[in-house]
Amino acid sequence: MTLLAYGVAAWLFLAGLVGIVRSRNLIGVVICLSVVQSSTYVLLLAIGYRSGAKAPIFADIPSGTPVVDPVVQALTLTDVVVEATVTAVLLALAVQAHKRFGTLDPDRMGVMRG
Amino acid sequence: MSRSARLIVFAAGAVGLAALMAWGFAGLPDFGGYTGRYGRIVAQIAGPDRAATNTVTFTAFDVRAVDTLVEEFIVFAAAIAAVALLRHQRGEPERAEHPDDVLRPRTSPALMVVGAALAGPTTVIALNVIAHGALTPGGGFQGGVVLAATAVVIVAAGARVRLPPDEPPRFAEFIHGLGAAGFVLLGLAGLVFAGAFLNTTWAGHGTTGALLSGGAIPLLNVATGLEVAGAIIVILAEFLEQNMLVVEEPES
Repeated sequence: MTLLAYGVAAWLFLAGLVGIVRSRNLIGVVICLSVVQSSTYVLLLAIGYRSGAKAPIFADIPSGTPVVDPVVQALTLTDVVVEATVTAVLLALAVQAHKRFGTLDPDRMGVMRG
Repeated sequence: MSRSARLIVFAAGAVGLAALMAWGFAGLPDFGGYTGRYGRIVAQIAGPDRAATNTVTFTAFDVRAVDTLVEEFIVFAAAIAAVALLRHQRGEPERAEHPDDVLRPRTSPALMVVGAALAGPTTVIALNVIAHGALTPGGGFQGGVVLAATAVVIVAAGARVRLPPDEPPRFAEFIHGLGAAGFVLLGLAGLVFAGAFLNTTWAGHGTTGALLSGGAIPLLNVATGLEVAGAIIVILAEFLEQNMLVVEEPES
């Protein structure tokens, strides 16, 4: 189980990086970056997990029940929010790049400057 | 650098990175065997100290509220960055004479009916998610996104939205700023009434499980909800305006 949880995080991180390096489209780069970032969600949640523990919401379980770590879950929430805003700014940059260079292919952008 | 050379350099780096990650992950606690004390203490005190049942929200808006304040400012800054990046640039082709002709592809009656039917329920769900942040899964960030979705549904249903040129939607800008300022003001209220910035105890505890419980956590959630909803509407409006109001330059 340990191998699977951390392996998924590592896999998402590296697969996203491969996507960024191979991408021929800035939108694709942004999407691959969000794949990289999603590896951090998996990693954080995997670290805070306790076997047999409940979700850290005491609305319907008695207090004192063992729960998984709420701090990493709050961190993951922060992570998701920051990822969404970063994506918005990067997409805005992609729009500007397309306006200036007439292409979204990162390889052709430098060539077209002039 | 050619494409294949770049891939070879990346492959070498990626192998090294994978090895480092494997080494690092090997030193982490086994999956399911986490023994950190901080989270356990936070989970224990949420109920007795603040009458909050959602310990994740309790962490985000009370124990680590300063982090959330910074996070709010990240959202705030990102929305402004998007507006700054997407504004009408000098030298860009002028907008169409009659923006409405460009802006309004004909909305199908089915879309209008579904949009109109969804707008009310979506608003209620958004407010519900925001209001119960201290009790059950949800809170300002999640509810704020749903609230922004309401605006999207209304626009999709064909409400006439006239965007003044080069200006983000005023009302969304307003609640965007109001939410960010509200969070800081609620933090200052903690400083004044409870002796510490972002201390949430000044608002009273309430009954565990009741709508008004968890001190100032529900208020902070409302501020966050407004801020997030405003930010997302501003960002979406800017992107929509790009496609709908600026005349496409012919591909060269």
